[in-house]
Amino acid sequence: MTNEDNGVTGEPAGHTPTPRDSQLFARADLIAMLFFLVLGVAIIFGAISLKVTNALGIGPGMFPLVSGVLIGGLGLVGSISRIRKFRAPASLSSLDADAVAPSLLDEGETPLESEETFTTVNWLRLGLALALVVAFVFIVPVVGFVLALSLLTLGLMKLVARRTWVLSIIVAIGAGALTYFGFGVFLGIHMTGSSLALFSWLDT
Amino acid sequence: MNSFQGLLDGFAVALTPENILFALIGCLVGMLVGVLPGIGQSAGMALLIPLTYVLPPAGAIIMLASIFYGAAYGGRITSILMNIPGESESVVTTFEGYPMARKGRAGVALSVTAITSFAGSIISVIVVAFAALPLSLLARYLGPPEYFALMVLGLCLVVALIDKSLVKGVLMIGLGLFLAQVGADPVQGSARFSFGSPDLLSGIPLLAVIMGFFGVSDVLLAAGRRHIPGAMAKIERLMPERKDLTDSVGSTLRGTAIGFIFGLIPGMVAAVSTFASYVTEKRVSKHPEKFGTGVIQGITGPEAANKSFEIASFIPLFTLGIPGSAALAILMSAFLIQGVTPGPAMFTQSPDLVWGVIASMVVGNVILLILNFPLVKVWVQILKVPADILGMVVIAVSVVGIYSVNNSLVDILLLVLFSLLAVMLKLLHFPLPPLVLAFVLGGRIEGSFRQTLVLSGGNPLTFLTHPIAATILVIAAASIILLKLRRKKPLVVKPATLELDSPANR
Repeated sequence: MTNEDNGVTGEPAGHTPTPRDSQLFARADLIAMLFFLVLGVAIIFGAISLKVTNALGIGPGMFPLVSGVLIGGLGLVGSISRIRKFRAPASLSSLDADAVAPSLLDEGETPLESEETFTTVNWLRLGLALALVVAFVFIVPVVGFVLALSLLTLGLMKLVARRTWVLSIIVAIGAGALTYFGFGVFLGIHMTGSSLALFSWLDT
Repeated sequence: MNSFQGLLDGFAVALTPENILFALIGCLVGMLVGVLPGIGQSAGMALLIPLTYVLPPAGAIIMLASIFYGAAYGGRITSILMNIPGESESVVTTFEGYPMARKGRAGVALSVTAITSFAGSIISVIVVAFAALPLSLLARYLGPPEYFALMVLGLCLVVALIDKSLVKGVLMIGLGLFLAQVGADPVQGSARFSFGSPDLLSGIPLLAVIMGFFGVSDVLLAAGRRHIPGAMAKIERLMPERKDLTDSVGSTLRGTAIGFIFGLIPGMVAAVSTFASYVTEKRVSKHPEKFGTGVIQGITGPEAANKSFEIASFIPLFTLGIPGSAALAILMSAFLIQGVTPGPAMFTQSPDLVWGVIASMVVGNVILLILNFPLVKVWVQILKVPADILGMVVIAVSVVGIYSVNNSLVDILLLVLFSLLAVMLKLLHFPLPPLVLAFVLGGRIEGSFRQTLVLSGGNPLTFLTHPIAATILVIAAASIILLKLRRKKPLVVKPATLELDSPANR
């Protein structure tokens, strides 16, 4: 029996990383390590201000200090190994960082096949989705939680999932109804009401 | 109370109509997240965790536990039909499952693995039921230094066994510990890193971290995915032949044993047990050259190992209070929400709950067998629902869920923040399980560390004077050094020639 006989007509889809993927990954990886280096130093200063030791033995700053040293120390190690990788000859720069600076703590990675990369992510949709959730927080006090959630779902369906208006409105009304009856009526959870009298009937 | 009596009492809890319903809901959600590639068991558990605030303790934990082991059943469906593993532990199932589907035996592969998964799970539940209580009695002899050492061991093993950079793994532990310290100091009550915000004084909400790192971020990444899924094999005949079943007995028993042993190790990943089971089946086979062409033992062994692993991983949680994975950390947080601290004392302080959960695993697996054998075609239909629509619903449910706990809009903003952070960390291959484990265990690690120092008069060398604690800490350090130094290549498995380049195969 052939593949087609069984309806198996294709291999699983996957994303083969491009050179651009590798470049973006390497730069973002370095930026992340530098971020952790700065974060670690900030935590160390914050921990010291909290007092690391006191009469009881260890103070409230001890564990944050440990976290800060871990984060900052490894951020430093990671940053150095990635900077060394950038400075390596071109023939080596495409290889794993292990090839440049092999040691227990010095590892680098390149995008692996079938994993998400910076170029496979749809940043517009991702940003829209997060922006809609943030906007939701600000409209809740105005229109109330239930209606705001319906509007959020409508926005997600129409702008992020790019579905038709009819389907988007149906799913949005369904989400609102499920929230109102499921969480509000059945589970008895109080939700922020609207500041407008027009929508007060949706308060739970 | 002995184990047999405890199990009987547990069935009295698990078999109430209410708890059967919760098990069914958990199994359905578990299957759903297992079937849908890109949404893992942790995400499924994270999405339903807000409900645990309003549910009775037994029902809440039974539901989340059912998601945990139910997801393992769902992952194999896409592996067999589409050659797309839902989870890393289902990768091995594609090696023989997909070739079977190409030969027109997709239905047989699905039904046989449902039966062997059930057998592996039930055997493991019986062993857990009779081993957990004696082990919990032994665990009562452990004090703060030993608990501190055990939790450090758990974190080290998670980092060592995940096929990611050691630097990134330990960084995530540091970040998880730091996030756990935000809020009031547990001893003196002074504010730590709360920036004057009253919302942060009680700490970063657990749900914002869990749902941000596993629920919403998974959906956000999947929503933007431009991949086109592969075609799906048709299911023609479900009933296996007698030979299929007899051929699977040995591999199922071997897989169950392998999965159980690996499941006992905190921090171990299920994928290692399924790879080990596949290697074993190939080695004991009289025709190893046929592997890669649709050999039934190559799916029944790993699938039994996978389910056995999941069940066995409850033992470290129930006896020591140490979750071995991010998903179990979420389950542990559900226990804490219910006012129950997982650990050896649970068997005496909350016997109904712990035995009820153990007994519910039998009930849940019966439900899963029904969902996966006669009803498997229903799940195939669900695969046809556009993932982006489900994703948008997941985001809306997450927002409602996180808001319903504290009625706090700040929690939703934290969810957005952590979701964005999680997307970036995932794209940069930072492993998130160590972060979540460290966040969940952070308070207990700090507590046991400070208790130990207070008891020893502030002497940090006290950990080395406690032989058990010192031994565990040495093992923790050795696990990282040995496993990472010896791993020069990523985990690579080729079904035909099988090159498993992982510590487990050396």
